[in-house]
Amino acid sequence: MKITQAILDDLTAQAKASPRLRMNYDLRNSASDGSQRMLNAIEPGSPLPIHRHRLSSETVVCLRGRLVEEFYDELERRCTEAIELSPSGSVVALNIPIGQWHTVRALESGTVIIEVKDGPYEPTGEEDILTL
Amino acid sequence: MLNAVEPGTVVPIHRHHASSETVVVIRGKIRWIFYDENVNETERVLLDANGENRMLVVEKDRWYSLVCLESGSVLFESKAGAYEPLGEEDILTK
Repeated sequence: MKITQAILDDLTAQAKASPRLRMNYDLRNSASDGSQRMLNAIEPGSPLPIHRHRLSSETVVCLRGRLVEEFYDELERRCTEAIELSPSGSVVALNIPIGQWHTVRALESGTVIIEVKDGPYEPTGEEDILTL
Repeated sequence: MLNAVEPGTVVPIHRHHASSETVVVIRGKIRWIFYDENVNETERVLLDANGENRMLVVEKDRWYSLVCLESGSVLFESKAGAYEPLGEEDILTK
């Protein structure tokens, strides 16, 4: 299956129409995969709480557009690192360490990433959300 | 994983029996070549980090090989399941 610009355009259109301003596209073999693979179209202004994944690191590849991954410190409750990703910039992909508090902000409309994690999907629990 | 491939690298025609494979050409240019089980070429797909298509989901069990067209090419690969070396039955020879 070719992941064409048309597929990404369609996903971006769905993200724009969604109240969360983002939309994912499952790339797994099936829901019984032991890992997660998805496209995620993220529009500027998409609300995403600061969260962490305690079971796996997360690999993010920026396919198009531009975004910032922000890392937070739990004790100081502040952003400790902001990393800009874009397909032709100096950082194209990021491995977010296991347990690292983070959030993401799209800087351009049409931004699409691939996200990959180990382990089956589990919704983020309250203890995995950080409020400042 | 990330995989840096250079022109001239030899990838046998193979398949992955347990999972589809998601590939993104992060840098450079790589051509995917698909085959049927009789080793007839069935499709070619050019992935170019700066072009129209840079990403592909290779279906489970599909025979394929690739040719690197540009020095500095880097590929992101992702599959489900633990690493397993390719068995003889997963390599196709002409």
